[in-house]
Amino acid sequence: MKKIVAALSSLAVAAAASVTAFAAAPRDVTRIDRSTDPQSADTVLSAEIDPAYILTIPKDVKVEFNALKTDFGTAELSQARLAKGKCVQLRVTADNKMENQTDSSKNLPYRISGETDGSSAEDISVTVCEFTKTGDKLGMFINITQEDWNKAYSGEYSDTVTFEIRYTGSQLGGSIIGSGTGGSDGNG
Amino acid sequence: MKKTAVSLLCCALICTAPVSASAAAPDSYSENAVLSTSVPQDHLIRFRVTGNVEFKLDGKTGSEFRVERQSEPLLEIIPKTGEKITSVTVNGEDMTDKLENNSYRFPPVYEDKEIIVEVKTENTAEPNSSPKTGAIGGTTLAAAALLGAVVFAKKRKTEN
Repeated sequence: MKKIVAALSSLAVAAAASVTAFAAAPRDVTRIDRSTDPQSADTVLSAEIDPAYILTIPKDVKVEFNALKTDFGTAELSQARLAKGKCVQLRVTADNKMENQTDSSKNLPYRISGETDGSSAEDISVTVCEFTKTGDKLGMFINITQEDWNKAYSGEYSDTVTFEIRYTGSQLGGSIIGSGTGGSDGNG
Repeated sequence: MKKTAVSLLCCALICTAPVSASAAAPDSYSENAVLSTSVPQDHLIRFRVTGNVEFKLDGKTGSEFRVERQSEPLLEIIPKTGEKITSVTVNGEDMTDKLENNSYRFPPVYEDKEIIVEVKTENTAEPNSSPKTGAIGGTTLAAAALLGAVVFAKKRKTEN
């Protein structure tokens, strides 16, 4: 019985072993011999390189009490290999208010502003940001007005910010921050 | 021995099962970050005074109080006999005019407060018994008499 089990197991192993099959497709070939005219032929070499990139995005941030502007961190594109006309698009989604952990009816409003070398936006949660080349970066800040701090009740507050990253066609023509945010263009 | 061989073969079977791995990168990806903050439970209200004054906050006597954030405590300033409140500032802002019967109801408290109260000793003496007032009265009478005498002398001179 044991011999049978061992034999069956061996067969199973043999059957399950992956087999790599090279189904060699017939190639178009051009033969050149003494009678061929012309005595040359062209060959097209092609290669396809997949896009690759690394986009770093901010991590969790604890905002100090009464801080009007807090550094949220930087979104930065590095090691980018993008096709022409393509970009890495970043969309920031947030409720724009931190919720009191013991009383959800109480909240603390905030805005996430964005700054690049040439432009800025007061609220980047209402637009998209595009990164097209290595080194493109967007500084992000949490903004809370003193008036809103003064109205806040005691307790712990929090909110979740979602960063959605897409590899897609570029729409902003090289700008990192999209329009429609009330932001200013620092390039004049 | 045979059992071991069988077990090893079964393990080998499991390990050689083919695995499909897609190397294609996803077109979209999302990640979350959490924002958080803490808002304090209470704030410190501290008094500084130049004079003899007692403070009460919501009926409790003291010179330093911790009050719940967004509460609206009632401040009472009780000067000792003969003292009068001349100035009250809250974090540098003059609130003297907002005192009613030496009391002040705070708007919702959202920060620490320092209250500076200045008092001065009131003059409680009777106006008629003041020797200075008497002297002023005497001077006034003497001046009036002098003025009358001058007018009278001028009148006589004119008649002559």
